[in-house]
Amino acid sequence: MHVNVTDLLLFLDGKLSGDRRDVVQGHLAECEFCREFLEGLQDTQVVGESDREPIPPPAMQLRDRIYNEALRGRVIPMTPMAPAAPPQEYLLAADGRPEERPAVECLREYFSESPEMVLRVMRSAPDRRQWVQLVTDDPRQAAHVLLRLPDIQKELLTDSAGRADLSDVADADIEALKWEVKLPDVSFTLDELAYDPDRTEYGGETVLESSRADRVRLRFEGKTEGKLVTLEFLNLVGIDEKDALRVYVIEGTEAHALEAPQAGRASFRLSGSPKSLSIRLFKA
Amino acid sequence: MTLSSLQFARAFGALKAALAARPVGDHRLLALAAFWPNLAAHRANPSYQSYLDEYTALFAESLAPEHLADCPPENLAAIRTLAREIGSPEQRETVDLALARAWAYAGETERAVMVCAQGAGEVAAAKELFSSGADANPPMTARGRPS
Repeated sequence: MHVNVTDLLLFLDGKLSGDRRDVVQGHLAECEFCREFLEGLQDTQVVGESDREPIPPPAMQLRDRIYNEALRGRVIPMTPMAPAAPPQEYLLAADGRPEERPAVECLREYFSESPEMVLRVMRSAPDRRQWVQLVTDDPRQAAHVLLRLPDIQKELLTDSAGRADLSDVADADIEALKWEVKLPDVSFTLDELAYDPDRTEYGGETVLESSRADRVRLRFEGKTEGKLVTLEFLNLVGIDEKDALRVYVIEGTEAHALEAPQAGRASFRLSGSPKSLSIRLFKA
Repeated sequence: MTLSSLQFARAFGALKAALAARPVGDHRLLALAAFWPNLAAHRANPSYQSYLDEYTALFAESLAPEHLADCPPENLAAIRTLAREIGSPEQRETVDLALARAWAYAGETERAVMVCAQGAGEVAAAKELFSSGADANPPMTARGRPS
């Protein structure tokens, strides 16, 4: 059995304890595969990550809150990641024919070190689907953010898993494009969307407030032709009337892109009967 | 130590580069099995799904009965654990059969039968068989001997 990656990283850092270090060293002396893998890690390792002292949970929460607050509205340019070079290998006839390309593969990868995130352009051969995946340690940071392609003036909103469909982007463009991640300037979440599904005519409203004192009023009107939701932005910190806004309301797996709010208001019709709503505002 | 998103991306890239140098064989499966704990640590994070999709595809293309034929049982057991996590029923059966065969070749009949029994969901019956003292593999000479 090969050595696991965690042990190899600790080995690279010189932090593996006596017995385990001997085992890993002994295995590396015998196993060409693990030696090559270690070389690949050595070329690409993020130095110093394992040197950090563990942070107690309350301090971690505070740190995350302050950090996320500081990230509001940020545009993060993504840098192309150099693929790890495959080791030089001479195949023998007994090795058989090289395999065909895998059913699912990553075409290009991009990264940002601060905040730490990875963007992966993916392709699935069987269903000829292409999508982009934003990977972050905190999954909330990847959910419902804008992925921008400034070269072709395109924006994609990620879903709750950090994915966005790429079917509208031409094949030829995908591997050459620059990517940016735009984090929301303001976010609201309505966790309990209460209404009576048996009643067709009703109305109600609620005010949502963010930790930064942004406020929005939501008015629900149930009618025979559907459920109309009107948003009225009462206070948006750091955003003035001249700023162009993109507003997205996420209802389950569906995102409604709303027209630029006029006089601080925008409306849309609910497609289903969601239990919660998320609202994201992006300054253009 | 759980790898951060950037560390993970780089480790996964190094894994793929090392796999690309070995297009076929059980090395690939063992390397994938050794890497699994790193990916499993992020399984609850939906933003890692693309890694799981890619990893599952790499596992599927590496898994063939002929790649398992020369594997010792302990390596097959590691591959079997992985197959149970991410494999299809057919893939699990392929590994189960290879492991049962390897134990049988090693003379470990009880272990071979238990692997098959686990695959068929008949563990209790197999345990009963062995606890009753029945010999699952009686010597050929014992058969048909007049009482």
